[in-house]
Amino acid sequence: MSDVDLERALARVCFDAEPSRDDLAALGEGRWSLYRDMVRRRFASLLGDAMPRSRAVLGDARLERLSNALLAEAPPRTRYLREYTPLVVDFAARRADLLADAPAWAMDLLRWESAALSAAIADDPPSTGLVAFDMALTPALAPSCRLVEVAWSVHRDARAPAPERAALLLYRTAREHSLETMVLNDVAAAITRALLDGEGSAAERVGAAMAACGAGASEEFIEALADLLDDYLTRGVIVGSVPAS
Amino acid sequence: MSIPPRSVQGVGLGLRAPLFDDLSRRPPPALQWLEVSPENHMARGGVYPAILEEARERWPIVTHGLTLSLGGPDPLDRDYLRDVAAFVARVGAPWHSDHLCFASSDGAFVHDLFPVPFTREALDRCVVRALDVKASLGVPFAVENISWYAHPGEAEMSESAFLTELLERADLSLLLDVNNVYVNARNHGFDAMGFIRALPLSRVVQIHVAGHWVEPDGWRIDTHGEPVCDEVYALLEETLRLTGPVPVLLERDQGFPSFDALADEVARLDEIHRRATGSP
Repeated sequence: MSDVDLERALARVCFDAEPSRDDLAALGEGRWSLYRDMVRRRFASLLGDAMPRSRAVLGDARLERLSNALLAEAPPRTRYLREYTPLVVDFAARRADLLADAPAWAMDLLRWESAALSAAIADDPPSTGLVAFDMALTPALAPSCRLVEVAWSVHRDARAPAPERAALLLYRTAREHSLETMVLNDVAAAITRALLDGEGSAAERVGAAMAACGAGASEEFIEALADLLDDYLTRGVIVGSVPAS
Repeated sequence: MSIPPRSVQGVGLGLRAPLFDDLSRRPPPALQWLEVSPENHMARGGVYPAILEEARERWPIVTHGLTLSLGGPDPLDRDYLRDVAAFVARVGAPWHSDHLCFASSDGAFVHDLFPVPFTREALDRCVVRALDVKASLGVPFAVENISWYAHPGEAEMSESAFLTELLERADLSLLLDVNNVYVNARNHGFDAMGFIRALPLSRVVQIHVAGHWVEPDGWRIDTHGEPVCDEVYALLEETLRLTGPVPVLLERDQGFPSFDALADEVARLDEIHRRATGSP
């Protein structure tokens, strides 16, 4: 086995659900379990430290199970350790079986707490390259914006939330860097989702969102839309527009 | 924007999030510089850019990477090297360091420092990659010796021989971690000072000291989470007598004590540094 193959074997010993006998044999005698334990413990404890409310509700054992399953199936391809928690939560959303014994609101709690974390560590808006917000151009939102839709009120009470659908917009303020949460109604959520993830100009995105939720362009709606966009501009949720190329 | 490198002397501390507030309000009197890991700041907003800016204005900064994976099986990441070079220029670091280790495999990061086999094949690969890194950075590149707990496969040479040949062939600087030397010496049964004497000490640009954990069976684990032990302080002093006035960094990454206790460790290091090097 070449040296790089030995290195790959050591990484597999740490990530795999069970280290293979072939890999251990190739590595030779040594405290390989120590490396395995160090790696797995670091990732698992990182989750609990990053999401204390989820740790309190789910316990360290469940978080460790999630973390170890991710390492075995899709180990982190990011060099930024701070990005590990959102990776695990995205993974958990695809692997409901791993939380089958957890409270019904577990996934909402993980998504909300992970969104808060990733909003807090997100990059700042670009200082150049944007123009003033224009409905005819592609909108630019603050990189910290996260839209989370929950079926339980985990944002109010992580331990005993009520069944209550809500769309939450989390973002970091530009000046104080504090995390803010806005509770949106269905139409505002649809528009915000379109501004964040849609295609085309802001006007096209808003139009698509209106069509999707059956909202008509009444005078009342136009006024509410203007208030929402104005509020987003004031809060720094919308930071400008991408100039036409 | 880049700034010219500033002189780095005496005792420094790693810039870590739990220390931001105290460092800003009441820095230890003996503290003369900071070490910053680009990975903790790159592509990150919020309070971090302002903290880095304040640190840059108040102290000389050196940069210390965590995920280069110098000896790793994957190709060097050109985007990462470009970003690190820009970061180094932005903070005016006089050199950049990373570890003699591998940190990723097949694109996945272990977020730990894994040992490179001490073989001719691995050495040749590390030399080529180190030359590439050096050419990419724009400042001298220093390699740090790591703590290792097992050797992958059969070793063809000693760690000190591997490290020495790497430094000489690629013309690199050395970041000598005396705690790692001590941990390895205790775990693998060799003489720590003999190991240090065998290295090309004229290449040492920086020294790391840290605390380590002792397992019930006496095995030592490099954690950066405990106070520096007396034996490592003694090893540092003896090393400084050989290297001369090389800047010394206290690494603390977890299990943070009170800031006053940390300041006491900085003061003790400063005292050792002055005594060993005859600095005023």
